[in-house]
Amino acid sequence: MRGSFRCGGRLDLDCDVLVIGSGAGGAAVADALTAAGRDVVMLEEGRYTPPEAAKPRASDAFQECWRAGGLTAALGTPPVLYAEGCCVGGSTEINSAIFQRADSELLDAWAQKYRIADFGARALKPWFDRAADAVHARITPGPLGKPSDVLKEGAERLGWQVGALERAQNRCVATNACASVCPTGAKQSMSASLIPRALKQGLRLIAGCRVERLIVKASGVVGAVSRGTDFTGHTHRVTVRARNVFLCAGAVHTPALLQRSGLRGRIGATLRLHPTVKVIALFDEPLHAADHRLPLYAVTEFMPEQRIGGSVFSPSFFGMAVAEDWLNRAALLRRWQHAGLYYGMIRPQGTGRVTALRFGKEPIIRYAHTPADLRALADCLGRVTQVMFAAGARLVVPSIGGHPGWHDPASALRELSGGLPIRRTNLMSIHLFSSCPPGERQELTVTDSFGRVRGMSNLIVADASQIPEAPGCNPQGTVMAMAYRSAEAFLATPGRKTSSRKLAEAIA
Amino acid sequence: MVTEWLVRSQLSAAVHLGGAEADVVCQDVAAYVRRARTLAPYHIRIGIALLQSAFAVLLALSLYPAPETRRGARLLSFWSALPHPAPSLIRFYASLTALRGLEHETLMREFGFSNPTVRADAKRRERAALGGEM
Repeated sequence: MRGSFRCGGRLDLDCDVLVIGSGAGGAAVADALTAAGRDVVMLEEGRYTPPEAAKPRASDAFQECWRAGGLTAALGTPPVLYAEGCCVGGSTEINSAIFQRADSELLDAWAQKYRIADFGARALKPWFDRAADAVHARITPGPLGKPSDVLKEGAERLGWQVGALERAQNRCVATNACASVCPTGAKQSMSASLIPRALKQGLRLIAGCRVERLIVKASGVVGAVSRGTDFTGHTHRVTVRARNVFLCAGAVHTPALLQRSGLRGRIGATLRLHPTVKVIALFDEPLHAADHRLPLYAVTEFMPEQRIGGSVFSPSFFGMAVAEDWLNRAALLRRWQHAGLYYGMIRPQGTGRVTALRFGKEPIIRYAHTPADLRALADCLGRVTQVMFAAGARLVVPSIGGHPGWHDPASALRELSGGLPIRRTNLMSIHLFSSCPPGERQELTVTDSFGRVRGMSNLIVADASQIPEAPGCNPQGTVMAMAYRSAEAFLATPGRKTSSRKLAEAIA
Repeated sequence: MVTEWLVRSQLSAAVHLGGAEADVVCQDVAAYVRRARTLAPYHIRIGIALLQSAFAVLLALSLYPAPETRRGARLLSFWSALPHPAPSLIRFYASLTALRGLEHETLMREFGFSNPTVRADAKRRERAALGGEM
C-alpha cells in the first residue's frame, strides 16, 4: 500500500490532525479529513498485511492480525472471550464485513437519553448512506449455499422473520477466510477500501507504531508519544505533534490510552458488548460449510434484543468448538462436512470496565452480567436450537463445557428453562463498544455530542467506544456513520488551527 | 513439558499417528501454543502460569502417566472437574491445540480437509478472472 511506512529510526512529525487507530472509525475520519485537504498522520499499532501476503492458516493469522494472538477476555462470571483486530484496518480485517444500521428506535432513544445533538435515525441516515457507499455494502446475490439455507429454512418453518445481511464486499468469491485479512481483497475492510483512498488523498500512515500516551498540556492535547517497530523488530521513539487528535483505537484501547495519559472520570466505566453463545449443528446431509461463505441470513424476529445467525466455518474453527469438551466430542471431527456453526447474540443491560495497567500493553477488562442478561442468553440459546432442529439438525451441541448436546428441541428448552450452567458456559464476543459515550448529559457521558473529550476541545473520540449502548447488530456501520459525522463536524468548526510558534511553546 | 503432555493427550484422543509422525505434529503444535502464551496479556499469562504450575505438580504426583493412556485421561478428567478457574487451563490448551493441530498437513490429510494455501491461491485466481482491480 503506497504511502504507508514503518519507522526506520527515531521520528518526529508535525501535522494538522493525528488519527490514532486505522479501524472503522479511524479510516472514516482519515478519509473525510484528507478529502478536505487536511494534513493527517495516522498511527496504527499493528502491521499491514496485503491480500497477497495474507496467511492462509487461521492459526498464523491469529498471531499476526488479532490482538494478543486472540487471547483477550473480559473477566467475569462467566468470562467473555473477545476478538479484536490489531493490524492496519483494525477489527474490520478479522470480521465478517456484515454492514448493518442500528435500529431506528434505539438511535432515537439514545439521542433523547444522552441528549446527543443532531442524532437519531433521521439525522444519521446520510452518514449511514455514506458509510455503506464507501464499502460497497450490498446483499450478496445468487445461491448462498446450504449453511445459509439452513438458517433461513429453519426460521421460516417456525414462522420467524429472517433477513438477508448486507456485506461490505466487492466480487466476493467465497474464500471463507473472513476471520483474517481477505486473501483476494474482496472483503472491503478498511485496508481494502478507505485507507488506500485516504493515502491517495495525502494520508501519512505509520504502521507498527503503538501510542504510549497523549501529550496533554493546559492548552489541550498537542500530540502523542509512541514506539514504532522497524522491519528488524527494533523499536524507536515516534513523536507526533498535532493541532488536533482523533482517537480511534477502539472500545478497549481508546479509554486505556486516555487513562494512561492522565484522564479519568467516567472513561472506560461503561463498556458494553454482545455476549454470544454458539452451537455446533450436525445434519444428516453434508453442509460443506467450509466451501461456502458464512451464513448471510439473520433471524430478525427478536431483534434488536436477540439475534441468531451463522459463523465462519473452517475445520480448525470447528475443532475449536469441539475442543470445549475434546475428550467427549472428538468423534464429531470425522463428521465435519455435516456440521455448521451458529450463534445467538443478545443486547445486554450489563456493563463492564476498562482499566489501564501501569505495566503491559493490555488493560484489564471486567464485565458483569445481570440476571436478566443470563436469562436472555438461555432463551436465545433455546431459540438457536429450535431453528437448527426446524432445519433438520440431528444433534445440536451448545458452547457449554462437557455438554453432550441435544437430539431434540424439547430437551433443550426443558433444560434451558432452568437457566444456563454459568460456570461451564463459554461466551464470546466480537462486538465491544460504549466505553466513551457521547452526549450533553455529563453524568452519563465522556464526550460531547460530536466526540470531543470534556475539557479537551481538540481531542475527539471517533470509534466504537462512542456507540452509547449495545446496538444489537453488527456495529461497523454505526461506527463508520458516527465517525464520518464527527469528522465533518470538526471540519465545519471554525478557528481550529494553532500557530506553529504557539504549538512549539506548548510542547516545550 | 506440561505443554507437550497436554498437546499429545488431546491429539492422541482424536487421531492415531505413528511415533515419528506424532512427534513432529506435537512439537509443531506445542511450539505454537508456547508462542501464543507469550502474546497473551500479562494477567492472562500469569493465570496460565499459575494453573500450569499446579497441573505440573499433579502430573508429578501421578508419576507422569503417558498422555494417551487411560491414566492420563483420568488425570485430565479430574482436573477438568475442579472448580473454576482450573478447567480454564485445559480450555486454553485445547482450543489452541485444535486450531493449530487441525491445520497441520498431517491431520489435514487424515481428516480430508482442503489445504488453505491451495484454496487461497485458487480463490485469488478466481477473483482475478472476474476482472477489475484486486
